[in-house]
Amino acid sequence: MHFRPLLLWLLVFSPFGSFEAAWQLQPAEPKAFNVRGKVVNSTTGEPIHGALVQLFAGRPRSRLTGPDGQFVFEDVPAGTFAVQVRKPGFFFAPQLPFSAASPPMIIAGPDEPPPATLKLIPEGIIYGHLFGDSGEPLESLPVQVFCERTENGRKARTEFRSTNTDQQGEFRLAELPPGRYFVLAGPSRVPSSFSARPSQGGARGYAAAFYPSGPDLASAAPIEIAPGKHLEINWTLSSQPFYRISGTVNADLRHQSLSLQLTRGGQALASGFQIDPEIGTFRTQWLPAGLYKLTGRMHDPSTGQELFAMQNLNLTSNVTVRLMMVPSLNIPVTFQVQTTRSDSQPGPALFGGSGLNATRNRQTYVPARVVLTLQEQALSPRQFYAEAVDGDEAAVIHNLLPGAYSIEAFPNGPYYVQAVRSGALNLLEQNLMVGAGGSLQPIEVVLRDDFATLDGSVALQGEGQSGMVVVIPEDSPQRARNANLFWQPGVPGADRQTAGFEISQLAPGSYRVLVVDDPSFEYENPDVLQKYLSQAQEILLGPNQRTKVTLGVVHVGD
Amino acid sequence: MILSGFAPLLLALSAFAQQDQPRATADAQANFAIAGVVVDGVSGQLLSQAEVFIQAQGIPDSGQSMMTNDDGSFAFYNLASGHYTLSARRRGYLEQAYKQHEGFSTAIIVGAGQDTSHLRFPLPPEASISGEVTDEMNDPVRQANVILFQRGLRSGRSATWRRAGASTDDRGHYSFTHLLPGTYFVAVSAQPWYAQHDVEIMRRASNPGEVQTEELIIPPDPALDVVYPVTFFSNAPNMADAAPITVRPGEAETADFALHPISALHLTVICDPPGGPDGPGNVWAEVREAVGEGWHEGVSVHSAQIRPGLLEITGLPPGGFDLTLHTSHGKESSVRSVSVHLAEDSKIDFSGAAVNATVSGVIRMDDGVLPARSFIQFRNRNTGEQVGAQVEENGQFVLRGRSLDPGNYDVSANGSGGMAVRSLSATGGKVSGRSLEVAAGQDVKLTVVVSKGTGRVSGVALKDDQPVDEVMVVLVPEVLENNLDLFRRDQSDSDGSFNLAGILPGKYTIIALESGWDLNWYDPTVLQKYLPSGEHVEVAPNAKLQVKVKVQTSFQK
Repeated sequence: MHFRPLLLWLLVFSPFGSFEAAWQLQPAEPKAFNVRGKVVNSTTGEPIHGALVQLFAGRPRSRLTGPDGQFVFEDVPAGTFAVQVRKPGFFFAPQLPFSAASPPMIIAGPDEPPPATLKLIPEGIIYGHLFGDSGEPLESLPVQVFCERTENGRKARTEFRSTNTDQQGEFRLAELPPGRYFVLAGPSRVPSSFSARPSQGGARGYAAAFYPSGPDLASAAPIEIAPGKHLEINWTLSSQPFYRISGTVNADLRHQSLSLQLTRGGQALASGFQIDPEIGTFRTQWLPAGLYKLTGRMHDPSTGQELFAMQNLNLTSNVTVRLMMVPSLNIPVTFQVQTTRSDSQPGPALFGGSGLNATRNRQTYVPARVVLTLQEQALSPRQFYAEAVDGDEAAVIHNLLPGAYSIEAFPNGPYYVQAVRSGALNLLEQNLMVGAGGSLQPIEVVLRDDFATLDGSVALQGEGQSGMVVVIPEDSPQRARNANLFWQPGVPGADRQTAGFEISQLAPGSYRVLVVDDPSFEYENPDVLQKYLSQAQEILLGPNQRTKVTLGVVHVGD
Repeated sequence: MILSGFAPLLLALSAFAQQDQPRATADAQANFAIAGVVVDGVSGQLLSQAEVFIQAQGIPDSGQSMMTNDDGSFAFYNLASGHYTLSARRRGYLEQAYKQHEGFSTAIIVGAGQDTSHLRFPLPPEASISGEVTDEMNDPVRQANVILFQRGLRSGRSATWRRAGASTDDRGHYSFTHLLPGTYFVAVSAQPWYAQHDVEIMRRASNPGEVQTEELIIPPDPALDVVYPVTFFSNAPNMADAAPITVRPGEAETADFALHPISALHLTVICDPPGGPDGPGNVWAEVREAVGEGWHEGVSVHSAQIRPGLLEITGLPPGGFDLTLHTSHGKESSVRSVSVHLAEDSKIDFSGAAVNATVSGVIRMDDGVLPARSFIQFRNRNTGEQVGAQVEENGQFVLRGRSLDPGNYDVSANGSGGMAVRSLSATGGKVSGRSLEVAAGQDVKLTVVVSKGTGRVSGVALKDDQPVDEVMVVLVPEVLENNLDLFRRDQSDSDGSFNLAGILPGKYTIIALESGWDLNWYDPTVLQKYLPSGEHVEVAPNAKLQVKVKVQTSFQK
């Protein structure tokens, strides 16, 4: 559960095109203030001309800074107001994705606020050229940049920006916030040449490669982008043979439409399938050698059945495959909710309950959101979600692929997840194996309402310090949960030396609680967690209890 | 030969045989050759290091390629007889099929008695237009939409069309590459990144204790309530005043833009508020700016509902617009459009305005089952702009969203296996042949009968009894006017042969024109003078005719 000090922002930013407010006859403010300040480059300290400063004093007021970076808002009433700055090519720290920085607040009254210095972080840019075997610029080659971040205690690499090289082989990836990146180029969409008959495997092209070389992230060199860094990468790729997958399907393609997907390392490829329904054949475009997973799906209109086929391929020559479509793998999910409290307030729709809400939302409500994550070597492993079964307190996970899965369940009501089982298998500890053709036992999710609540108070080391709370179950550290610190924003003179947190719906039991000063603390990595576990506070949480705890902030990292 | 893809190499690599194409046969004697030179299409200079590709039509994976030698020569030996697609690419030149014109090219017919070893393959040097877009602070404008228009002859008529779009990068830089020589226009549509167009609406009771409220509209800060008007190179507000950019072969032209903000206009829109006792409906406005020659660019405007029935649209530059108001309430929805020219803040009253005319109808196939995923298309005869709708399984179609502007449209239908409009009838619109005239505010119900068009004519284009390649062959219907859907075209192959397929039964004239690719053939008066020397045919259902057509030289340029 993420709690970020966003409350104030939500109040002042209207998501709609117009800003509406009650127009009330208010007693005239006794005093108005001038809010002034300066916008500077966080790296060089130079003033920034033409930056847009917005002050959310009741309604948004906007000013562009002058050549000296200065701005002034006149006639500002007393109060505490958020301020925001924008300029192309720069970032404002509180608006960076995954930023822990809190928005700066201007406090007007009782005195004139002191001039504010607002910093903008200059963007990073990765640019350069891609060249081929004989030094020729490679045109129309895709270039992607992945950023590495720690989210919910787990390192994640996600695609951040993408582009294509131009006629000169040049690419530019701008607007990069400071951070750690990986660059991936290729594959070429059209073979660069055919040195012989393509039917004999003579097509050549450029396979996808991470900078500086290598087909996967393991061989990639991370690129650190500091604020304002412009990094040039000139990179020569080597061509390699390209091949093609052709095939047939054990179904009549004239009446059922086949959808095909090709993945490599868990990533879907734009594979340009050509399907000829009349002849019943399909073919991919030219592909570099490698391990691929070909998945076909189709819907049989006569039976209403979903069909699928999956085939792993080690592509080292042109290959022909036959896809055998079989009924898709679906796993039912059942829920058991154990209520113990007399004041228990079940979810938005009560199963077997009474009242208006129960009947109204019943068709879409399930007591918990269930997510299966395929255990695969992939940048972002595929996830499958349980969908509610109409008019029932059950769900089903459709169209699973054969493989091992980890399971997560997130209660949709005031419960905690006590158990997730498949037969005798404890899915909170073990992976679920899904195989083709085998019987698929239902997943049973047990929820209870006698949860514990942890109510914390944290002594900060500096005003407005950011941090993250991690609650680690003693018996299964891999199921740790986190929360962000909050304090009462928007109240003039609020105590910003102390922050609070609340984590509810915890299973009763023994925990360790740790507050760290880095919101990107990688607590799911046992090696990282182990280093700081001794500084965590041990705590026993009882059923239906609210436990108060006071903690200090632990510094993590270098 | 008709090319079915854009990039010849991609086409040549396509997986499956085009049906009914003559196939190269594996059992034939494989001792023929395709050979020749690749030359610069302008200077005639021999081009080394060009990749030349051949693919036997109808045989997947039969493609092969080679690089030209220092003397520009290439040669493929040991080929079976058959039809081959020949294409080439080289850095600095446009990738082309042999003698490519629009979507046609000349296929190489290999076999006994055919000289296919002395080909001369001209590749046109490619050109480019690039530039930088900056704002009034001399900062680069990022993510500006840059639009490239081309003016010239397309499908037999003079036209200006939207050739490509690009977006500026962090340096404000854009480029359009791989251009053929010709006449182009470049326009930039962008917004100041800092612009603030939102109005603030405050409400209070008209009188203390009353339910009735009045609104106070606080406009945005005028210094930030600014827009960049659509700007054509060089600094022109529309296409008519724009400087055409003449691109010569191989040249890199530059077109830079310095954008200057102007005050945005405010438009107050009054309409009948949609809704009923069960709640209010939705209203939204769509604004398209007229940039010239019938082309429109969407303008991203801000609109705020002051109260039901009253909208405030902000963020508009001065100019000519199509303003479309969409209202919906439950399942009911309606669309009303007006064309306005705005020079200052204005007010438009839509209340009581007529709902846009809808064009709907039904399609029936008279010689088979209508294939799933068929489309009907309406091509504006003035602008060339096309609007289409997908046909539902029961043959019904409705033109959704924007309806047709008043005017004349060529009607065509397409779907897998090919089809052509056999007859057209309408209530609410005037039909002549296969064209439809739409009047303002008048609903049109169409009945369209289509046929698969199973007739086929193949033949040879001859000049002094010698076959001629690269000529434009046109199948002209008996009635020229309003029958665009009945025309068929092809380009003669290396042995002078051509193929015209998907022909509806009827009387036609086939003409073959040398230099026909520069001809304004869409104009019936232009085509008329070539008809007497054409080949007259009557095509019966499923007919497969063989003809010899005399090549005429087109004089019009």
